Amino acid sequence: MRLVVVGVICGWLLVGALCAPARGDGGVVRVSAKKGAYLITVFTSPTPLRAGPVDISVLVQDAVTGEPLPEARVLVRLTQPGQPELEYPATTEAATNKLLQAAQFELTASGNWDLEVQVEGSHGSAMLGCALEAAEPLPRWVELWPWICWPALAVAIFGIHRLLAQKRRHC
Amino acid sequence: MSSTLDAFVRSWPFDPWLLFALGLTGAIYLRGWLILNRRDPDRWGSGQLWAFLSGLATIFLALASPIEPFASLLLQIHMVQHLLLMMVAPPLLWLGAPLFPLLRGLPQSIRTYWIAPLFRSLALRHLFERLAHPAVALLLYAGATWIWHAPAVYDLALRSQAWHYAQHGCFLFTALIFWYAVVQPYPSRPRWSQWLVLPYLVLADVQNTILAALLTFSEKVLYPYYREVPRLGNLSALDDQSTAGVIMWVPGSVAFLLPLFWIGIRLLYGKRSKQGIRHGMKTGRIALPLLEQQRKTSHDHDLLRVPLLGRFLRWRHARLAMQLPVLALAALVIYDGLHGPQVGAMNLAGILPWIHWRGLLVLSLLALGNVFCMACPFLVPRTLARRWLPQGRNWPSWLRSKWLAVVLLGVFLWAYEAFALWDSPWWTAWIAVGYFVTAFVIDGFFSGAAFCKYVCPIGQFNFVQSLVSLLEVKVRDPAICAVCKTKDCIRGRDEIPGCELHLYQPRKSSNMDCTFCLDCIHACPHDNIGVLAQAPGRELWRDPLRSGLGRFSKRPDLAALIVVLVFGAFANAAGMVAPVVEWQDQLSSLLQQRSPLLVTSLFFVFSLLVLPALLIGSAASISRWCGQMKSSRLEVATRFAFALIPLGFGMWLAHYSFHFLASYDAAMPALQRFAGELGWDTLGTPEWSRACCRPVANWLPRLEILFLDFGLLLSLYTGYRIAGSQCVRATQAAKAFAPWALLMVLLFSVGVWIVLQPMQMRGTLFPVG
Repeated sequence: MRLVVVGVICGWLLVGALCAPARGDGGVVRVSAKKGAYLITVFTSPTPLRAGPVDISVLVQDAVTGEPLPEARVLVRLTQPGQPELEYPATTEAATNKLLQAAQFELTASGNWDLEVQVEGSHGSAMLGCALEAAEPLPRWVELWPWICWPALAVAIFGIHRLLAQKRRHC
Repeated sequence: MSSTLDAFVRSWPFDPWLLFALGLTGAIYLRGWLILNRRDPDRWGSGQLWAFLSGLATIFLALASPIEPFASLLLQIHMVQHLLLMMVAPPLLWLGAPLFPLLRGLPQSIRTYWIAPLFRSLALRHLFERLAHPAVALLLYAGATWIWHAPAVYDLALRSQAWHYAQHGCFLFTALIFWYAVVQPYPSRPRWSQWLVLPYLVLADVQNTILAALLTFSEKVLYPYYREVPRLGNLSALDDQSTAGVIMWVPGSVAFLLPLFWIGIRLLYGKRSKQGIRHGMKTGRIALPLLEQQRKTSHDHDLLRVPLLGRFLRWRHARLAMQLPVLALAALVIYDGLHGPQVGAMNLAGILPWIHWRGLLVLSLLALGNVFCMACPFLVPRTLARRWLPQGRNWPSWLRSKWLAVVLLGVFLWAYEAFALWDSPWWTAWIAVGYFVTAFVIDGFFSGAAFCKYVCPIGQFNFVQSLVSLLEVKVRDPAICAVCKTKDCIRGRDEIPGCELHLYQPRKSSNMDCTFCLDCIHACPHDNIGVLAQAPGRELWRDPLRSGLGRFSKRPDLAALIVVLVFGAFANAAGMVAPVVEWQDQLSSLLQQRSPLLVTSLFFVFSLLVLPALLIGSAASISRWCGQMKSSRLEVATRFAFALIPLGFGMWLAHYSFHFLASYDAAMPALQRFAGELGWDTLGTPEWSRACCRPVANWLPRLEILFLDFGLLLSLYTGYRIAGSQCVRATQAAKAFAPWALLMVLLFSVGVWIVLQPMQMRGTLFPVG
């Protein structure tokens, strides 16, 4: 029984380790505009945007009623001179908030990227574009510092615990 | 159903950490409540259980339901989330009177060793008493509410995930403190009049009403974030804000006024808590269940008791049944290595041993134990030919130590790098052949599994790493062994051999030298040996007299083996990262060497001999001097070397699991090619794209660092326990431990640095990951 419990705990911790970065959607509003019969809003994450893994989420609404149209097909394209073009469909499956359609990208370089969002749905097709500025990626240790440093916290708690235990023994 | 509502009910975020925390807390509470309920069903009724579980469910609802993703689009949803965290979950949790059930639900060792000192600490008790004072609790609660609702701070939390977590944590913490004074959960005793709770709740409601009114009647949008996000259902940002204000006002006030009326009526009609009278006020001090003994069970997990698997393992030919498939794989590796294409990524001999076998080996050592020695194919020829082999001679006494294995292991690690064995199927095949021949010859002539115990480098690797495994072959009930006359576990019976490695079960302790052959289990006439669960690493800080081994502290050969394996883990991984490869290339050109052989040899001499001698020698000297130990420097180094095992294992795990998890499907195209060449086309044409060009997943470095983290912590704890056993006074022990702790942190830092570097993807067609 004890081993099963330990196994479940360890297994779940591993799931936590594996799933933590797999969260995709939301972020800050990058652009929102009426295009054709649609109101298209683009969110990007992380904030500020950096080279490396990024999430681009799109909310497509009816421009008149404001009713969300999650069934519309959305294609997101990112281009930068000298870099290979990145193009992925944004889907509700990739988004946590099912009003949005999300796509995950790996930005290969910092600098200015041109974002193009193509929407096709029952109200026809529309396109929205904007410029994105991606900062330099953070050094990997900055991104991973909580994973590296949490043992220090565990050691500190253990140290306090032992101090308290010793103090009590002396009393 | 509208598309917004449809999307809302389908938007469930998956947060494994939150689920883990809530699930674990709920399980501990439930366990404790069940024990308490059996003892005193009047006090521990189902109402408390449901209240506590409902409190946890409310937190789940607030943070892991559609409320969470929609909170960033609508302020009113965000307000509902905060009300759940501040006004619903905390009182429910306190109504569950969680202190006793949570304490009783914890394992006894955690309760007595970890929790008891915290409860006995006067400083912590005073801190809590001050925090729980109504004036302080109210100030904290109101302060958290107002500060976090200031536009700049609220906006910050909406734009940054870290600040959002901080906001939720702050809300929950201050609300728990606030509601503690209202609920006064058992076994807390009232230190102030219950009448004081009435103005306390009124004041809380007043500050809540003022803030709610500000939100409701404001003529401008207070939080710029909500002005930017798209509007749903044509609801303007101002209307959304007003609705949020009304939610805060009306249900918020109800949350304060309901307990106010309840407490007021109770006070007016003079109805006092039966529980308080019976258990709290009359009895004075209430003993916390910190030191209560638990019912003693021998071992609550035994692999042999697992349905089907246990039955299979108890079968006398179980080991052979496991060895035969691995033997077949070894035959494939040898055949393909000798006859297939001489490119590692295209040949089974380049992939199966160096990516899959090594990865599965370390993962199984972590999760189970030494199962690869159990399924070792190299012993099959010897086992099958046992009756015709002389096997009469004793292994020479001067070789009865690990020194030969230390040398062979060092040579193997060097040869792997110097001759690029991972990319040489031909050499790999011949190494496997060499293993079969050596095992057959040595075990054919000498008794007592000399090959496993004294020669096999893979076996030594498994023995050392399995010291931190979860499972161990050991006696179930020592009392039965005490009266056993036959000693079949070591002598054998009815053609079942006893332990060939001379590990006498009643005095066997740890997995060292145990091949998990299960002979002792089959030979024991009392069915008193199992594959039992154990606390990982526990045997490292104990130093009893062990059967077949003696004391760890008296085995410098074992310590040398450990040091080679620990430093070898870092050297082996470092040899594959870009900066080290560049340094080696620069050194080669500086020394005008065309072949990397000299530089690689220098690298391994430095990593496996010079550096360990310097670091371990210095740590032992400083430790001995600071801790005023009477043992010699060698004895100190020998004893503390065992503390490095978990960290070394962490590095092996990080490294080998990286290659395995990043290239697990690289075997498929090689298998397709191999099958195709044999004229068996059902597997299809080789998909070489699987053997290259796949980027490394983001979670892999996190997993690698997690392995290093756990390795470091277990190493530090082991070192601390060893130091405690070597020194008389705690201060001496701390000083003796310090240099080893420093060495462990240094090795951990090197490990993290290695993980953060681009690594060669050996065995694939993809050069750097």
